[in-house]
Amino acid sequence: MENLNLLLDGFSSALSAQNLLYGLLGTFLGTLVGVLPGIGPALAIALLLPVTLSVNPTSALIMFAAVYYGAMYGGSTTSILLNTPGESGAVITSVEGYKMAKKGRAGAALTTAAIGSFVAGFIATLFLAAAAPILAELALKVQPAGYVALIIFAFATVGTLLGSSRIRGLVSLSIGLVIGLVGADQQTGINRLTFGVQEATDGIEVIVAIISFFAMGEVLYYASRFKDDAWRILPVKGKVWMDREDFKRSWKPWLRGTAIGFPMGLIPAGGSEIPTFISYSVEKKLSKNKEEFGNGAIEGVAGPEAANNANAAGVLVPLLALGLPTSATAAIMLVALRNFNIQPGPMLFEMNGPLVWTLIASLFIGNTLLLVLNLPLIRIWIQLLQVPRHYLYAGITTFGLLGAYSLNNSLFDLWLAFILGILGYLFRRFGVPNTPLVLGVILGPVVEIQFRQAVQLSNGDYSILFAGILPKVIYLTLFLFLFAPSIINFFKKKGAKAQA
Amino acid sequence: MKKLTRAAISELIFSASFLLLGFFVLYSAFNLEEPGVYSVVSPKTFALIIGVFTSVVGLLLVVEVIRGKYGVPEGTEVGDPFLPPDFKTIGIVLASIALHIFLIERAGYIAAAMVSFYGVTFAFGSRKFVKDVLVSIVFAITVYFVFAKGLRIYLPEGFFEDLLGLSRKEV
Repeated sequence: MENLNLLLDGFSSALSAQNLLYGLLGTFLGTLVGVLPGIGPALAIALLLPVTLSVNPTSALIMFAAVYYGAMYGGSTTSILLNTPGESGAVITSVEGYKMAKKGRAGAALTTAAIGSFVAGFIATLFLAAAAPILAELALKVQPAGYVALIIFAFATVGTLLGSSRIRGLVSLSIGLVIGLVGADQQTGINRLTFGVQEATDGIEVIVAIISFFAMGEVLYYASRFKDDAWRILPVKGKVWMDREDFKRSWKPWLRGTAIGFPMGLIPAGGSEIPTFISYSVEKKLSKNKEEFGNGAIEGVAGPEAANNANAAGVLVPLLALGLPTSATAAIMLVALRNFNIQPGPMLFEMNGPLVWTLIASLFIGNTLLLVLNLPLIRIWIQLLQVPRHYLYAGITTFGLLGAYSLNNSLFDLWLAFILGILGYLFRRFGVPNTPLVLGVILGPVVEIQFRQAVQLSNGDYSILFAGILPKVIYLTLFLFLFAPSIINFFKKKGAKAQA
Repeated sequence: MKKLTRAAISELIFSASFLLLGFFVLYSAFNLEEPGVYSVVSPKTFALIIGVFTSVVGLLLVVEVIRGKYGVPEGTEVGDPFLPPDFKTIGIVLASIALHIFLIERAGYIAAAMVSFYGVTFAFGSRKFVKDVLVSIVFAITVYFVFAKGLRIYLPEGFFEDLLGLSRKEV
């Protein structure tokens, strides 16, 4: 009850004319950037971060929330019309969505994605408002050793679940940790890996790393093979709205997608890729129109889209309550919040209570604005896809450079973006995922602090890292998660041999 | 033995560089100065852990590549994932970015943004000189207006900013 009042307070401070205007601007910009092919929500927020630098915190939070939802919606638009998902969570949408568009049902696909995202976002944000304060209270009891275990768990799952090979994910993580190591040590001021460069002692700006890897790397990747791929944008023919039959087939997948996506956002399970895939296979199993799957089944868009959005809200729970981002987008939200001196974690609800509740209220508002603004504007967004590719990449490049420069007005950051951009291209080319790197850059310094606190508490006795129930449970779960499949396989093979 | 392709060799170099990076992190961790202040866990400890981790996964990647498991670019593209890279286009894009960085504090933001925007446009095969230059100018000036004037974010001034009467000296 108390939380409900706090949330209502959040609404009253969020709902001013000026803030709503920023919300609309955020929705507009978020969709605008998100609809551009190859740009997912993570990059959209990173690119739009400079826009919020000079805005007051409350308005900025609303803008973020709006950008966040706008960019995710924009991403599903490109998956459906262009078959180019901007992020892993939208991959499965493109499977059925693109087929629907090919059959001239793009309008229905876009609408079920929009409404499904709204429904899922709404329900999941309610759960977020309920769950985050409780988790934060529990988290107050977590010792530094418990934090170390939690972060290592997040590293391991995100590092090994994404992409085609476990080792590539871990390589990405290790490079992120090395980048996070650069700069003066927080406790002693000793410089690590700075090569005597003055600017490097402040460490490498996370946003610069993100822009380099997600924007510069992507542009260079397209440059490396630009003669090959021609886009074919599918037209949106006929009516944009869904008919009664579409609704009947969509509402259950929306709710099921929400039920799958939200809980999976709470645990560090490597972002929204897995929940969207699960939602897809659940819908395929339950559908009466199984033969339509693979040929443009509306359930295959409705479910995963809802799962994706609910998952995004679920990811905010550990982010706000534990300070633990588990997806690239959440990691950037963390950086953005830090820019406003808001430090997510167990103390957040006590230290920045009003602002956090404003953020949660903003998520509701952003979600609603999106539905109101975007359903009528679908045709206009589609026009954006017609922007010639050379202008698109030119815009992304120049805008990325602006983002890298404007944070510190430093040429060092720009050269860094240049070098990391080349590395980002190589990552892309050799199938190394980006997200573990981003988490490594952000959480590397955090895990070091917690690690030191733990060992200092025990006066140098490293066994404290395994003391207490939480670390033991986490490490055991991790061990099973990583090795159980290979152990089972081993015994299966043995059994097969014994039988032969 | 299978003949090594150029792609395989470049991937091997790519993976080996991470192994080397790991060694380097280890080397520099060993050579860190000791902190003057007393601390239970010195800054060395964590650097060593990361150095070991980076070296180990770097080594595993090298082994994976040698055993013939190559990386596949993921997700958003169509067509053959193993095209030989188009170094000319990459080169022009990189040159445009470098020129932007070189110009931004010397010639002002608008000039730098024009150059990078036009350069990337050119790299991606557009040859409509007049139209592209005009679009670049409009893009650069719009961004400058919105960010420097509208949102009051600092962007360096130069020739074009003076010409347009936008610079702070005159406002």
